This record gives sequence, C-alpha cells and structure tokens, in this order.
Amino acid sequence: MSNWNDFPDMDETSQARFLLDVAHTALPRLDHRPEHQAKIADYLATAEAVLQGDVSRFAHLRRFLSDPQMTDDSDVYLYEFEGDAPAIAVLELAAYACGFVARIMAPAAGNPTLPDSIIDADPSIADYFEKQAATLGL
Amino acid sequence: MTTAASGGNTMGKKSKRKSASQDVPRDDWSERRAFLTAFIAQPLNTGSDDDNDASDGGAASSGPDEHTNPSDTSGGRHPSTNQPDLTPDDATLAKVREKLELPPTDHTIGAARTSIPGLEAKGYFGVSSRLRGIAKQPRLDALYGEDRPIKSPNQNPQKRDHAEEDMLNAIHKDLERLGLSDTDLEGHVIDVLISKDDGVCTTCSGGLLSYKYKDGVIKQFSMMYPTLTLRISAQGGNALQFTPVIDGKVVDKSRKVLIVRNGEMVDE
Repeated sequence: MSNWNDFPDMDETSQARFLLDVAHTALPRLDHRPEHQAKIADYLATAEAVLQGDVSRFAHLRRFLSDPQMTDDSDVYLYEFEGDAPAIAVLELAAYACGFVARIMAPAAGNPTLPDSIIDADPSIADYFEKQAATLGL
Repeated sequence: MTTAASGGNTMGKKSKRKSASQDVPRDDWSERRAFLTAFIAQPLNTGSDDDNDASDGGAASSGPDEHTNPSDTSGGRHPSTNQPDLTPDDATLAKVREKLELPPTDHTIGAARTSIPGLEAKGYFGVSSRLRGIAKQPRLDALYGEDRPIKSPNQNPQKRDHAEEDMLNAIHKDLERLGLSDTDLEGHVIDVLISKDDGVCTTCSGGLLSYKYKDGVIKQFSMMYPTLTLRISAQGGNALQFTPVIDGKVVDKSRKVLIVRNGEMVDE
C-alpha cells in the first residue's frame, strides 16, 4: 500500500484507489456501530465499482455525499456519531474517498450536476484526511 | 444546464496537492470584492460593464436578453410574500465568475441582494472553498474568524466554507455593524441566487427539513434574524432537492425557491 507521502505524485486514479484503501483499512474501527459500518462498506464497494467503470451505480454513490431523501448520507451519520471521534474519522475518510471517485468519474457518468461535497473532494484537501487517518493510527 | 464536473475527465491526470501560494490571497482581492459588491447591488438591467470603477454608476450596457431572473414571475414581486424580488440574475453570476477569473463551468458561485435599510446599495457574493483557492481569496476563517457565529456544523473540508456560508457571514457582519432590531428587519428580504441546478447541499440546508441533520448555515442565520425572509434560487433548477419516500413511493417535494423565515421553511 502506498502512503500519504506518495499521494501528491500519484495520478488521480491512483489517488482514488489509495483513498479507498485507506477507508477500507479504517472501517474495522467502526466495529462498535455495525449497522453504520455495513452501510459505509456498501458505499465503498459502490465507489470501487464506479471507479472500475460501472457508472450505473453513480447515483447511489452520490447519495452518500448528499441524499435527496435526507435519510442516508454522511451528514446524517455525522449527527448520529456526535462525540465519537474515531467513528467520525472513519466516516470522513469514506466520504472523501467516495467524493473523490464521484468527482473523477462524473464525466463518464454523463456530467451530472454535483454537490459541493463531491466537487470539492480534490487533492488540495488531502492534508485534513491524512490527519484524520493518523488519529486512527493509520 | 450546468455540468459540475469541471475540467473534463481527469482520470489518469497527475494532480498535486495545492501549493502554499494558494493560501495567500491575491493582492487585489479587496478591490475586486468592492467592485462586485457595488455591481451586484445595481438594479437588474442596468449593470455596469466598466470593470475599472464600480462606483461611477457606469452606463447601462447589458441587453435585456442577458437578464433572466429565475424567480421573477410576478412583475417584480415574489408570489409568496408580495415583497420585491431582488434575486440576482444570470448575468450577475457571470460577472462574479469573470471578475474572479473562475472557469466557466466550475461551481459553486452565489450572489445576494437585500432590501435591508442601509444595505440596499450593497450586493454580496460567495464562492465555494475550492473556487476560493482558485480565485486566491482569503479563507472564511481569515475573513470572519474561526469562531464565526454562522458556521458549517461539519469540519470535513468537503462540507464547509460553501458559498452560502460566505455570503451569510458577510451579511451578518454588516447587520452587526448597523445594529438593526428585529422590528427594523421585519418585512425585509434577502434574495440569493446560486450557480448550481441541484441547489443547496444537505449540509447548508441542515435542520430545515429533517431532524437527522445538524443545523446548517441557512437555519443558523435565519434564527439569528427571525423577522428577515431569506429566499434562495438556483440557476436552472431547484433550490432544494427533496424526494422523500412516503408510503413506499418517492415523492418530489423539491423547492424551486427555498424560502426561510425564523429558522423554518416557508411554503411558496
């Protein structure tokens, strides 16, 4: 597995794969919230599929970043994780990975309009997530 | 129709993190800001094209075709409140984009005008965090302080420092300076236009529709100024996407114009 020092020099597809790896590695830290863990694992699996070209699942991936039904996105989980810093770190790493994949795959998915949480998921904000990963010992 | 995935397919492109210079505001940002605050405040159809001096009341030169007010369907008054519709037009957002030298399809950009006494001659604009880096504008922490009263409840950089947070803090700063009471603000409006056809994100709209979200910047602002009416429109689409499942069916309860008063959504 690459590390954060390599991140700036990777191409964006490799960066996306790295972020997905980090998010997967962090997921066991959510063992105390199995229901959320399963949902986030599903979103990460969706991101993997979209990154491999299955854009039919793009809408589901997008939902994790901004759910028009307002029931199942990362902001809802954040509310439910209040005060649980490790859980929030896992959630944010997953949201960054999924947003990053959605951003670079949006053209292949037909250029849908995107929420800022996807548009802004670019390499320039990686430092924050490197720190979040560090809080989990990653 | 907007396309948010700017810059085309970026797959395979090498992408470095931001350079340190992106944290340094450009020398002339305050000049550009001053120009835009004056430009946005001008009545529609009389926008100045003189980029060198915004205060000279430059000649009206934009043709009527360039001004399309997305919510102006009632002769300049908003149907729900019968208050004047001050919503900035597409040309206004285009001017913000041009003045900040932002790419033509990147989002999010917002502009606002208000009827609040003392602020009628001032317009407001805001851009999302990534665009602020591109435009080399100061970050919100530098502009309004880290402990600003209107702040995204989410520390994730994907979900904070959005255009809405920028504009509402700028307005709040001016309102604090003016010291107006709730009675003074009664009946006044702030009209906002944002550049994306999928409208306000769930972080910024938090607390308006679902208890499952922390209060976002719109609700925070509205609760601070309960007698003000905040109306938000989105270029080419709904200001708020909301499609809940009711009795097993997806129901479209999206809002063309998001109207908020006293921290609550108001029906059109």
